[in-house]
Amino acid sequence: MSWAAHELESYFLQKHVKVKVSYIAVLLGCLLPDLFTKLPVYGWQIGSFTLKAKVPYKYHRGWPGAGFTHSLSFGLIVGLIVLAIWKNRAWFVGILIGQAAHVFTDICDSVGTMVFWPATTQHYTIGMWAYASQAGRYGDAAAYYSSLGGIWDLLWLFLAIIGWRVFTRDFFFGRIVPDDPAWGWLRRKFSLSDRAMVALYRAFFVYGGCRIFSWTLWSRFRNPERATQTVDYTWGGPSFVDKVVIPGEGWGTFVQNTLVGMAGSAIICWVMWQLVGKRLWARAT
Amino acid sequence: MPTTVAAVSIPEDEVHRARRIEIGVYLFTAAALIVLGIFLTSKILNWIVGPAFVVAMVTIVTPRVLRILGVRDPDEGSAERAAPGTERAG
Repeated sequence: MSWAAHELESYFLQKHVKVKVSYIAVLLGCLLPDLFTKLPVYGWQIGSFTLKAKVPYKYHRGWPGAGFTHSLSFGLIVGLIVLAIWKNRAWFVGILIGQAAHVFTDICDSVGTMVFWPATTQHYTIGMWAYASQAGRYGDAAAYYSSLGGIWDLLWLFLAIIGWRVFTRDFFFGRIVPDDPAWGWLRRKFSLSDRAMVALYRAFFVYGGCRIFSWTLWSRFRNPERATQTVDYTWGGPSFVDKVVIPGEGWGTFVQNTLVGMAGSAIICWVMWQLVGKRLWARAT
Repeated sequence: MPTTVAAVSIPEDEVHRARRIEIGVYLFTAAALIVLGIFLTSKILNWIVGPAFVVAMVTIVTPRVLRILGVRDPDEGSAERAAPGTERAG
C-alpha cells in the first residue's frame, strides 16, 4: 500500500482539477479506502479483544473481504450517499476524484486493486514494490521505506511542493473556502481564526511530508532489524520481505476480465446514475 | 484574489514579517514532528495525532513567538469576523 502518497495527492489534485471541488472531500476520498480497513490489516488490540484479519491482503484488497473499498464503484456509492445527505456537488466530485486517486495509486504494489469490482475481481498491479502489510505496521514501514515505495512518496511530495501556490493564503481563501461551505461552518462552530483554518488545510501536507522522513529514518536507524532490512530499490523489492503476489492467469484472461470489467462498471455506473445520481445531482447545489 | 485583512490596521511590512515568522513555526513544527516521529512512530504518525499536532503547534506557538518578537498578530481577532471567501461559498 502507499503511505504518505494518499495525503499528498489531495493537494496535487486540488491544483489540477478545474471544476468546483471540495478539498476536504478530496482528502477524505483519498483516505476513504483505508479508513476502516487499516486497523484490522495491522491488528488492533484493546485488553483481551484483538481485531486482526486472518489473511491481511485478502481482507484489505480481495474479495471476499473489504477489497471492494479499493474499487471505482465504491467511490461512486459513497459519493452518491454524500450527495444525498449534504446535497453538495463539490463534495460529490471531491469524494469521487480522491477515492479514484487512491485506487490507482495502490496498483503500484504487488497486490494491486480490484479497480472494476463488482464486474470483475481482477487485480490490477504493476508490482513496483512489495505488499507487506502481513508483516505488521513496523514490518510494512521498513519494507515500504526501504523500497521504491519510499521514492513514490517522495515523488508526490515533490509534485506537491512544485505546486506550492496551493499552500498560499490567497489560494486557500480565494478558491478552497469559496468552493466549500464546510469551511464557513468550521469557522463558526469552532471559532477558528484565519491562521487555524489555513493550518488545518496545510496540516496533511506537513504531516504527510514529515512521515516520509520519520519512517525512513526509523527504518535506517531505529528499526531493530535494520541489519537485515536494508535498502533495496529494485523493481518489486525489497527482497527481505515475504511479498504477497496475486498469481497471474495469463494475458488472455486478463484482457477478457478487463473488457468485462470496463463494460460492467460502465453499465453499473450508468444504471446508478439514471436511478439515483441524476435526481440527487439536480437537487444539489 | 481576496487576501486576509487584519482586524486592526497593521502596516504591510509588519504583516509580511508575521507571515515569515509563521513559516518559521511551520518549519520548526515539521522538524519536531520528524524527530518525534522517529521515536514515537505510530503514536504520533497517524491520521489524527499527526495533523492535530501541526494545527496545535502553529496556532499556539505562532502568537507567542510574535508577542516575544514584538510583532503585531495580523490574525488576532479574525475568528470573530467572517472568513474571507465564505461570502461566496455554496
